[in-house]
Amino acid sequence: MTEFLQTSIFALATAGVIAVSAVGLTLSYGVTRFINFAYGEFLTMGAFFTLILAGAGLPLVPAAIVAVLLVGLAGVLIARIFYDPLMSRGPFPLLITSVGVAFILQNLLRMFYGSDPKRFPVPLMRPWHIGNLFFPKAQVGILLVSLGTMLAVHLLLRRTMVGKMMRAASDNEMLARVSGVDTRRIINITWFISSLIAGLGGVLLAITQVAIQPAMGWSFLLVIFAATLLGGIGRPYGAMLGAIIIGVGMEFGTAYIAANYTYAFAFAILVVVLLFRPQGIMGGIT
Amino acid sequence: MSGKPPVLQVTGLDAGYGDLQVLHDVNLEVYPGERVLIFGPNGAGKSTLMKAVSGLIHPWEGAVTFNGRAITGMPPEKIVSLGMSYVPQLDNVFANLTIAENLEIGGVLDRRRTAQRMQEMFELFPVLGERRKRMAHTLSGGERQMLAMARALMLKPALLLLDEPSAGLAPMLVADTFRRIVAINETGTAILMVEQNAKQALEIAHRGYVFETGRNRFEGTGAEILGNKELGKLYLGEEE
Repeated sequence: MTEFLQTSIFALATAGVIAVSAVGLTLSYGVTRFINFAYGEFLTMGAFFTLILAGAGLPLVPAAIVAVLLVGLAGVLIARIFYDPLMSRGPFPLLITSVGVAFILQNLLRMFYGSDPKRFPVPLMRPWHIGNLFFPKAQVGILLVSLGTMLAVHLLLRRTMVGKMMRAASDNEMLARVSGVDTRRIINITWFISSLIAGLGGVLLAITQVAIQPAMGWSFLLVIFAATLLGGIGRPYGAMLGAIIIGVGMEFGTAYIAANYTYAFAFAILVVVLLFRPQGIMGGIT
Repeated sequence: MSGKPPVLQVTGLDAGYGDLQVLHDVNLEVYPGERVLIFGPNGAGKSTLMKAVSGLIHPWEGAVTFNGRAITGMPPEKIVSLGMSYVPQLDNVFANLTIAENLEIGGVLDRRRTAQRMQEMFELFPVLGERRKRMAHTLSGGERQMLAMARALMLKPALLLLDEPSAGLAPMLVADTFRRIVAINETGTAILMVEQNAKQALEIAHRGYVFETGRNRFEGTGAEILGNKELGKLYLGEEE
């Protein structure tokens, strides 16, 4: 029982990291209708920018905040340079281009920082103990930040005009334009928010992984895809639910079945669910 | 019609998709307060004209003037800000937004008046008011059409473009829709609509244009078109 509860604590933190990352991806897909394969690198950038800023003397939290904002801006810039010119050419040129962008970003980081894992500057903190269970502060922090992010995304989409315009553009771009929505501006805002969330996901991922390296986001991308597809791509609430299922599955699979195949559990769950519900769990519900 | 300048003037318009020219030298006017009908067989270019006027496609040649201002080639979000709203035939509501949110998007260019306009729309279409928190995809066909029109009316446009407002509606709802269009028009909004139910639509139209293969074929008052034997035979399903 203790092991089960202890695993649950880690599972929820992992689910939080995936949920944050998946919500960002699904937002950008919802509005732009293309799967950005460079999204994983936005996570990596979040982690590395934080590392660099922390190395320059900033404490972890301010370093992470600045880094996340920088990733948001980088996302807008990358989209304008590489994606906007291809927007009208259909999904395949964009998809291939985004894979190219992923390799460019990943190798730029490798060029400057090498492939060796770097320690992520998380201070050592004594965990809280309750009975036989221990709650590592980092994991609790990740969980709180994830919940905060989900709430912020929810409020953005339901309560703000920008969020409603994002949903309108995602639902029916043509109708949004004839209603007076400047969809180009909305796409830019979406890239900013989506990339910023990716950067945050990267910081959280770095905390769980302790050491970071330039391919971390690329390999995690598949897990993010699993959660996103599971929830029905383009559906933020589906992504959150998908993340919980994948995160819990990964941690329990690792704890109880085999520790070497953490990411494989994500796909096993995805395949099983999609066999029964090809539209994802939230498909058709909205 | 009257001595007033037209709210919409289309002159010598050519337009199409890719290499395919659909409209050939199309001319058309709508005067303030008018209800104008466009009809003709499939492929006559009626919807293409709507898209070219509302800015969704770029005309190749010719001019579109709205309230005396050249709007040819302007993006749709700019054209709507000048006072022309468009209701497409299909996908004309945001299915995954609530009714209230659909109207908020309709009023996005004048947010200070959104609350008041929304109230006016709920008076005009009470069923929308009752369901304001429901997602638009839960509405019936007739209710969707009401929402589509209400969304387009949020900015109190001087001209409303309606593409097949009665398409897919039950016969009972068709008459109802036309009554509402008259009511909307009587608040001061000029109407330009495309309709397959030409006979019924002509009864409420001040004037009509008959299009054929992307060209002007005939124009006249509703009565003139209804009284024209040849048009009646060709497009209104009348027997000789």
